[in-house]
Amino acid sequence: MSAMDTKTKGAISLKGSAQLVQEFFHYGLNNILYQRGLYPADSFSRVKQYGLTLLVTNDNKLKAFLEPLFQQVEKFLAAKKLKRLVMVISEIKTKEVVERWQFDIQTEDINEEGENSTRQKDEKKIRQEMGDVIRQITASVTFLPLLEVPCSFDVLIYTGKDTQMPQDWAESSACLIENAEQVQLRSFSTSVHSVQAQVQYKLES
Amino acid sequence: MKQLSYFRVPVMSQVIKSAPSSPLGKITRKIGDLSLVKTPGSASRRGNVSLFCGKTPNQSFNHSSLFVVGGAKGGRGLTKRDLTPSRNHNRTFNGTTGGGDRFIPNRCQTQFEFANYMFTSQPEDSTFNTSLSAPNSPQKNPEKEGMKQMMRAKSSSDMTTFNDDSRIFVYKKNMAPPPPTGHLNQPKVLYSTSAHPTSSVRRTARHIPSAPERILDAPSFIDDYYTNVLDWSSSGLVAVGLGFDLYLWNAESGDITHLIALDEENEGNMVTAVKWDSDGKYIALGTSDGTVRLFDPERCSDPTTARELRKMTIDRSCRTGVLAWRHHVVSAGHRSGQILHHDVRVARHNIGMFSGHRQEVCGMKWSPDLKYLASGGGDNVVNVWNVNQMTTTHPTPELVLTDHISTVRAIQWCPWKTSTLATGGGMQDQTLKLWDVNGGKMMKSVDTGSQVADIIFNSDYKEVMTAHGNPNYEIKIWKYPSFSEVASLGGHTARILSLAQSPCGQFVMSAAADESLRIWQCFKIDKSTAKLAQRKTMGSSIR
Repeated sequence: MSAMDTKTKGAISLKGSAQLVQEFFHYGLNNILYQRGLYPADSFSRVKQYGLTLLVTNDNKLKAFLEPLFQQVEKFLAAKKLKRLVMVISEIKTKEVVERWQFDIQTEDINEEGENSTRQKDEKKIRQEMGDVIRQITASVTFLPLLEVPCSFDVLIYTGKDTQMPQDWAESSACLIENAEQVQLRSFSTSVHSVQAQVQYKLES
Repeated sequence: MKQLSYFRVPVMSQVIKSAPSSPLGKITRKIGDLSLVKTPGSASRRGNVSLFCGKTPNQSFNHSSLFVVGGAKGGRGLTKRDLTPSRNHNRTFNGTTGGGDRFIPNRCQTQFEFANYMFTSQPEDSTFNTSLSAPNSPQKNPEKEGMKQMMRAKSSSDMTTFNDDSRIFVYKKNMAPPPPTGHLNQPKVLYSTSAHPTSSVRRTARHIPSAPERILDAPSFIDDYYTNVLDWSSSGLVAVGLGFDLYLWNAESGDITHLIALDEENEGNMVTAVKWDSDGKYIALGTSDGTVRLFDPERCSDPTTARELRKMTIDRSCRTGVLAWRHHVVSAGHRSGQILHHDVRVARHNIGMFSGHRQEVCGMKWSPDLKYLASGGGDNVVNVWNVNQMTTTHPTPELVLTDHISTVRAIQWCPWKTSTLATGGGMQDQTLKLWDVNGGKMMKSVDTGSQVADIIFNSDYKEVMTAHGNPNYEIKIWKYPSFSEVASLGGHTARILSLAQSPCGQFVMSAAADESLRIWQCFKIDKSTAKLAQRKTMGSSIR
């Protein structure tokens, strides 16, 4: 009995993994919005997560914007369709892309149901890894160029060819930055999804 | 002799093999050459040791003695006991750390020869800046750039291009909610702004209460941007015009006096402007028919029968939106754009007229030295008039400031720098501008994000306070002259129209279209520092 318990304790299902990764994106993207100063600092409130104090927007409009986004992301994650998620920060006036926060997602090939539906990995460990990535995102503000003009953001997702386009989403280009500087960040893995973070930014001319 | 295998040459040659073209490889090759030249044959390792250590006899002795110890123990190498005990007990001696301990630096691993070589010789293709001159920015080296490119490519060559058959979706492109208007991504936000919620941030020295000290009801307060019905006298009485009535509020006792009730039958009796004279003895009252009335609150016992000291009317005049006193002259800004000057002492009271606005005048203030009158109006223009022209027949403004793009109601002079004028624009403009009236130049323009209805300067803290209308009904406090935001006070639920400062400067009353008056103690003077200042002034007066 006890052996069973320990087995299920560390086990993680595809659905649970999707939820964890979605949660990571929620905190990660909010953190980027705060750290990069896209919205005023006072419109964020503090939340304890991953052993860190993170800032999450309390602006209702922004919340309403992000919520369906993350819901869709979770759906795609659970369907193993999400290959990459990119947060594109661009200048409002010129529409020029200045920063790209890229999260590459690798999904392990497991069946949704059945014997092999779960994998072993301690949730605590996963959260710690996620915290490390977020910590690194926060730290990268020190080398990223200042965003001196008002900027806005878009979220891109890369999916397989056969994916149906969901509502509110549209086909897009990759919004690449010419001659970008790239910095590889840490990665984390839930044993189902592994996420590799990276930031690309425009070189200061 | 095996214990001396820590010597570097073999390791270096490996490096050379693995990276023959890299700059690092070149350097190491040089070291390799260097040591190889001086030590023919890797067999004479003893020679190597003395080569590296020979320059300091002390050290070489140390090492040779260690060497003897090692030799005596039959080539087993140094034992733990031979070293000064270090804190790190877990570390076992593995024969490659050399003879150093925590007190004597390990000279063997300090590559003096190499350092000397690098200092004395100056190869052209060196990647190090070896010049003895002052440090300057590193030269752009094509090789280095190439290296950088390679390194970058290594880390993320195929990261951006997703070659396979994937679709890219974007979520509501360009639909992300925009940041509130006026939000500037202050680069300093991370480290220094007061808006930053972390505790490590330097805060302003004093506490500014975010809630008002007191809230008073102001029923039938007119929501009209072109009227000015709130004033705080130098004697401590707040006068506020509500509809056809004038109320006084005694700041010390809290008593409310219904001072004047004008006849409500006559539409023209609506109070549209209230202003105390500089002594706080008389009130000038402007009404919507353009009349200017003078009252002495001491003499008014009954509001309905209150008799005015004087009633000054001009034919064909229209609503008085704003009043300003200069000694015994009260100037009235009218809807027509004209400013009429009334000398309250003489029978023919109208002594002059400034006509420089094409629309209603709604902001007007004399400079602290009473030399200039600044007026703003619905035509988005700020005029600065010289007092010398007050009685001339065709006066022209000294300055015409046309940078605002909306009605200018908020006008205030800086009390500690008399040539500085602050003006604030309306809905379309939302900026606070500072002007130097001596040159007529704009010194600063701050986007506040809302309609600016009134401005107040605080001399104690050298701060500026602004009252805002749409869209954020706030009062903001700014540091002068940096105009960094110190505080923002919310609470009003409709646009704020007027601010009035108490004679002591510590309190500010705000009047808003939500029919409330709020008193804020936002410039509270610290008692200890105030006492100090008092002592100082006393000292100077005795002298």
